[in-house]
Parts: sequence; structure tokens; C-alpha cells
Amino acid sequence: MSFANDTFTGTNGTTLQSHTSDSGHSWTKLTGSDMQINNNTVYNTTFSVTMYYSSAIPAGVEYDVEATIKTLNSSKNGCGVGGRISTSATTFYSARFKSTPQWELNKYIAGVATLLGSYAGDYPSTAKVVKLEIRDATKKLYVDGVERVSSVDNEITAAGRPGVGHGAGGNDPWTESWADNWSSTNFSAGGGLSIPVAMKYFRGMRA
Amino acid sequence: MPAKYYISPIIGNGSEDNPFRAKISDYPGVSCSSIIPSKPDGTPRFTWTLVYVSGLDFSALDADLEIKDVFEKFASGVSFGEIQVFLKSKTVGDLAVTKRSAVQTYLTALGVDLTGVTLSTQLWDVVKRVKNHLDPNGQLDDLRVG
Repeated sequence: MSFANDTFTGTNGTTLQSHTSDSGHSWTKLTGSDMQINNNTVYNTTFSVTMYYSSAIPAGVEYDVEATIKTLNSSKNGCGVGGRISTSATTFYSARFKSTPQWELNKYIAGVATLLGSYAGDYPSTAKVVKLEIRDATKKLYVDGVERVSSVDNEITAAGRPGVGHGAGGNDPWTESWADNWSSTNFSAGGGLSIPVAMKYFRGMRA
Repeated sequence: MPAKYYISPIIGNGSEDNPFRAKISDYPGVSCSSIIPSKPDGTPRFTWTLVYVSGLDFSALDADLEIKDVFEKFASGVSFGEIQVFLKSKTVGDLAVTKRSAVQTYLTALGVDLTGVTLSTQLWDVVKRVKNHLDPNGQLDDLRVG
């Protein structure tokens, strides 16, 4: 169950910082250019590195952030998602598609970019779901549910916030590269049974 | 897909279009994951990195004199699982003397602690020492792409 989500439903041209998410949270631009709503998706209006964070606060330092993204072709930079985003410095982890072309797992510390890992394949010329899985032991990038990059980096340790950013479609129009269906979900180390399943299990034992 | 461990220089300046990264990541057709710990200002703590690389053709990497196959082309696998099994099944003593000497020389030059490594030490443990020199966080198993 996500603790924050957004389908970016709104009026075309609305900046993300003026938009309220489906879960009722606001967006703050940490760095870069404005992202705008277009046809109920969100896109970056320039090439500059951009990251927004949600006002939603994760329950702990381990959580997932995902979104559906698409770029017109592999030469276009794609949008991406971020996690452990600092609200005071350009510091975060991100998973995104870049026109290199490849999927990238990145680390930004004080605005300095480091590429931790990359995967050449699964270009998002059709919509694909990118997920950034944040655990203390690993940071993983998934594409359509398949793990593509895993890193052991854990230098950004504060929970921070989940977010959305990166991307810019290339030449024109910018809307060739967009993100949609963004959400963030807390990680429960215990996992285990949901309450309904657990109730059924215990009732079965009693019978 | 075939996979190997390499040691690569770190290139870049930390900008969006030129991030700090393993030189290997600039080669087309390969996927990779690397360990690049950062200083507080975001710049890399080391000038080199351990890289797990997956790809169909490593010839371009092997021709780059700045990039080192950790075990001098002795070890590779068609998947992460296979290379892991291979490295756990082989020991330092399985390396030819010339390759063993070359590996020892460049790992020592990089500052990797090889104290206690003997001919019976698993090659997997040698890679773990390289990883732990760069970053003790996490497990070598979690450095992968696929």
C-alpha cells in the first residue's frame, strides 16, 4: 500500500509545485527546471537535472518509489524517480532512463552526480514502470518488475523524501518524454501475512 | 549474459552530462554496476572502482589498457550465478603463476589488503577484499546487473 501517489491529473501547463497529488501531498522543486502537467502526465520543460520531492514522509529509511515512464525513442532522456531526497541539498538516489541510451542508477551528493550502475536494454519507447528500491544494504533499479541494476552504495542514509524528476524529451516537443502513475511504498522488513489472510489462517487453526 | 569483474578508472566531472562513473560504462552494449564511494563534497574517494560487467562482447574492454580484468581473463560466467560458483570453486592456486603474480601486483598497488591470502584462498574472497576495500557496506552478491 503506497503512502503517496499521483496520476498527475490536472490542467495542462500546471507546474508540479502548483499541483496536489492524488494522495493530497504537495510537490517541492529541489533543483532544476519546472515540470508541468500535460495530458495527465508530467514532463520536464528543459534538459537540466531536475528533482522534485513530495511532502509525504516515509515511515523509515527503506522504501520504494516507482512511476510509469515513456520516451519517444532511445535518444530521448527519460523521466525518473528519486529517493532519500534531501530537502536542503541536491542529494538523492535516482533511477531513470538516459539517452546514452541506458537505464541508470545514480547518486547525487551536494549536486555532484555519480553513475552507480547502468543497464543497456528495455528502452521505454513504450511505457515502462521504473522502480527505485531503497534498502540500507542495496539500491536497486527495476524495469517492469525485473531487477536490472543493484548497488551496495549506502552513503545517503537519511530517509529523505520520495520524488520524481530528470527527463527532457530531446528537441521538440518536450512532451515526448513523460512520467505517470507515481507512487511510493514503505518497506516492511517483516513482510508476512496481510491482516485478512492472517485472520483466515488463525480461524482455520482454531477450527 | 556473460559477466566478469573488472577494475576500471573513474572518469567524469560530476555534472549531469558527465557524471563520475566507471570508464567501462561508456562502452556500448555492456551493463555494469560499480562501487564508487564519495567524499562529503560528492567527489569520488578513489580514482578506481570494482565493476561487475555483463555483456556479449568484452573484446573492447580487454583492449583498453586502463581497464583490468580482475583475474586476467581466467574467470567469467554466463550469468551472475555462474561466475559466483566459478569463483567459489577456484582458488588463488588455480591461477597460472604469471597471472597470480600480475593480480597480486596490481591489487597491492591499489592498496587492497591481501594479508592472509594463500594458494587455497577462494577467488571469490579475493574479489570480496577488493569490494570491502572500496566500501564495506553490503554484500558482493548485491553488486550486479541483469
